[in-house]
Amino acid sequence: MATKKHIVETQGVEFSYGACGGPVPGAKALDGISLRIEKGEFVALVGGNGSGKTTFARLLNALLLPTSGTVYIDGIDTKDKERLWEVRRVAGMVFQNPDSQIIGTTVEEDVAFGPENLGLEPEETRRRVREALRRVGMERHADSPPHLLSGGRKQLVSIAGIIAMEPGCLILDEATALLDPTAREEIMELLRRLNREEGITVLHITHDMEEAALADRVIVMHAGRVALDGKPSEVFSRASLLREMGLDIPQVAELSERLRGEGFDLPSGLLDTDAAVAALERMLAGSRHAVHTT
Amino acid sequence: MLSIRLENLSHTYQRGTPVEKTALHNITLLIEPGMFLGIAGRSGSGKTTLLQHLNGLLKPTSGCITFNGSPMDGHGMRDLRRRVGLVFQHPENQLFEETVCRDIAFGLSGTGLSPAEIDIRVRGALEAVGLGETFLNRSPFELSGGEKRRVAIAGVIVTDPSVLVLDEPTAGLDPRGRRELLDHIVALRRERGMTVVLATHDMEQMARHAEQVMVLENGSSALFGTARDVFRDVGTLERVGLEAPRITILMSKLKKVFPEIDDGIVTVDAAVEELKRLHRRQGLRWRDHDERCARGSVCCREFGSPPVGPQDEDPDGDGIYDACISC
Amino acid sequence: MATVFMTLVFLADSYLSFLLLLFFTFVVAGRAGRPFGHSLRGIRPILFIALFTLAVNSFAVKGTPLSEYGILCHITREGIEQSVRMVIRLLLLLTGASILTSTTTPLALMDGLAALMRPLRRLRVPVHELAMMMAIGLRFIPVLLEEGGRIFKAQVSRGAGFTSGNPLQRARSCIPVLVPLFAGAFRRADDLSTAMEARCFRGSAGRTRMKTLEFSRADVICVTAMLALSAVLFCMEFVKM
Repeated sequence: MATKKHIVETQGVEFSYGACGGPVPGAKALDGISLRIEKGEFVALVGGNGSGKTTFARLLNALLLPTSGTVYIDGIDTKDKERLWEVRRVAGMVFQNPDSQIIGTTVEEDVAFGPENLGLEPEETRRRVREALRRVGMERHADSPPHLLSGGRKQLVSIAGIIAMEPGCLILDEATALLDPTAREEIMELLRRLNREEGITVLHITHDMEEAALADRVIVMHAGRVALDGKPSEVFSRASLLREMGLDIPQVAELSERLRGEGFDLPSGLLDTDAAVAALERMLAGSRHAVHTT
Repeated sequence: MLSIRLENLSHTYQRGTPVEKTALHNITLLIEPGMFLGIAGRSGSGKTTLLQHLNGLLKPTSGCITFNGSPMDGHGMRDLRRRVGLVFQHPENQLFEETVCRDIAFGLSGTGLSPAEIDIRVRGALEAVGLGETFLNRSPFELSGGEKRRVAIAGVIVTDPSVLVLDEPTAGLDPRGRRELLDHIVALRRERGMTVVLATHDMEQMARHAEQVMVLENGSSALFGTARDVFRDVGTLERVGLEAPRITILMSKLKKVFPEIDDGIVTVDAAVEELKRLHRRQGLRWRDHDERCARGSVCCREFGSPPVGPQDEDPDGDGIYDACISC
Repeated sequence: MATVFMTLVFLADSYLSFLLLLFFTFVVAGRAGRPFGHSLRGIRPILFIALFTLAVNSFAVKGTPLSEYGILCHITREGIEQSVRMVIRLLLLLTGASILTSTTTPLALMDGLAALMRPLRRLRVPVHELAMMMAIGLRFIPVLLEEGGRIFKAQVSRGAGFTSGNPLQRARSCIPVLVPLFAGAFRRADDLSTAMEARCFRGSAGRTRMKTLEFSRADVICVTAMLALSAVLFCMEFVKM
């Protein structure tokens, strides 16, 4: 049985696209995923094309149902037809293409779409829309038509639209993939704030390793399975394994792993630039020790 | 061989209306044959506008652009567009033919080449983007996103352009996909001697391949020079909303403690080599120091203070160096 | 409201009626915050057609000639009167339409239309879904226009020619733009419907609206004014007969 403490829990989940299309029909897109995400966690889910991460995301809000195993969202089985809409409210999802998820003819109207679907009173909807726009920093643009906004701003609107539904978990399905560095940074900043100050659970699906390094926990998927799961410093220290899977690691981590591989004295799991600089300084200072002993 | 020169080129959209916008301002640039030029800048900095001048889609509203010394007029346009191939963002959105073969061949329509010739060229283009012959008769609409993109690029290189201009070719691809695509472009450049102009905001990609880089900020040129020089200017890059590669930022921070470090490093490989080199030199310096400072060997070992510089100053003449006194 | 206004415009025939209508329009424009001059400027493009109509009708209608000399003998008094009436009607209609579109957002217009269509629900017409389709269509017009432009440029860059040849060839040359545009639109629709489902959209069942159309005091005044105007004009026209 699933406990209510975990906002997301999957047990032995498998999924095949089957004969009706998608990747190789019959092949398993997901092959036995069992994991838990606690309330308030900031998790990054990474993996290459074909790793199954997008399929997994679609299972979380019941856009797809597992061919075997169970997915529990806040204790609710996603196969439960009666509570489908509850599942989708809890597992709020923002997608990759900024244009293809905005419905409203103005920003305000789009953010109101979710609460309206939930059947809330107009006054409550209005309040939530205002609040959500304030939290993402878009309150000044409430009356803008969406096509005049930049990609980053459009994604902020979409995030506001999900927050207005008061989700349990905010899932971003490669939502930063099509944005420029400044916009990406803004979004990551917002996610950290929402997670740290408001305790919103965040699941950030991405293939950008520098972004993944900012999370509290990194899950690496490969060929439909969970390959690694742990703190960013632990995960990114497994450089050779990640390379085998065709994945990059953050440049700082790659540098320290390569130097460690050549026998240099550096701690493992270096990710932060400043920490790396300090460690390198110590290493270079300690070079006298290495020479002195010879 | 085609060289393109831009002189004080400016472009204003919808001039004379209340919504006019100057996308480019006084850009001067010489694109020489065989160059690999990167154009960096945030969304909205004018990259796309600049690229669309290179094949005559847009005309400057002031300043001029010349191709091998002469400006382009209406007649030579089709020919120009075969010699300057422009790959748009998300080029997979422009596929329309029934088969991959016919879509790629679209670029050769009106050239008067024989069907046999066209076939050879199409196959060549397909191979150049890393797709096999099995793709020729498939419908473009049943391919994966990455495959579609490659077909679209093949459709541009089929005319054997001298200059290949790409607008964010790796947008939306995963790291492996990005690497592979760029490797193909680099190979293509080598084989055909093409000039490549690549617009992107992915600095790590640019660092790996570009020789010259122009950084745009609100339509003006903020930086221009070799990749090394441009990436070294971490401050300006940050100001215009770009990020130098993390490795460059790390090396420039390290430079504050070790001034002799090369801060123009843009790849991890180069950084590894540089740090190893520095480590060896440090070792030598310490050994030097130890051998000459009588007391220094003990306290420096204990406190591990790094050398401040290769100074050999011993003002008191007591055999103890100033560096030791500070620890 | 607008439809009623239009009907009235056609009914009116005497100069007094026209004057009344003009006065009414003037007042409405003022209340709407649009100085009359502004609305008139919107008519400028049509001015040419208006003058043309004036000219043609002056010649076309048979009746008492203005004078016996030269070209003027073809112009009749009735003709002039007829054309003047037409032009005034045209101007009234256009001003009215311009006020309507400049004061009401497309969405509000659609909401209004949807509200009017509500009785059709009895006939199992999916009014809500239709309204939503219209709204979404409207939102994506600029997006699709931009995309179309981009695709056009991309195909031109590949050497596509669009202006030469006979009509059939020209139609065929639209394929490289239309096919990708449609394919893209379908893909977008697919993504959009996924996003809508993810935001708990399940049709009109249980759905509320943040901006509700309510009958306010202003609306009451408008309706009353309209009724009054209609009554007065009616009397003026039909009682005259």
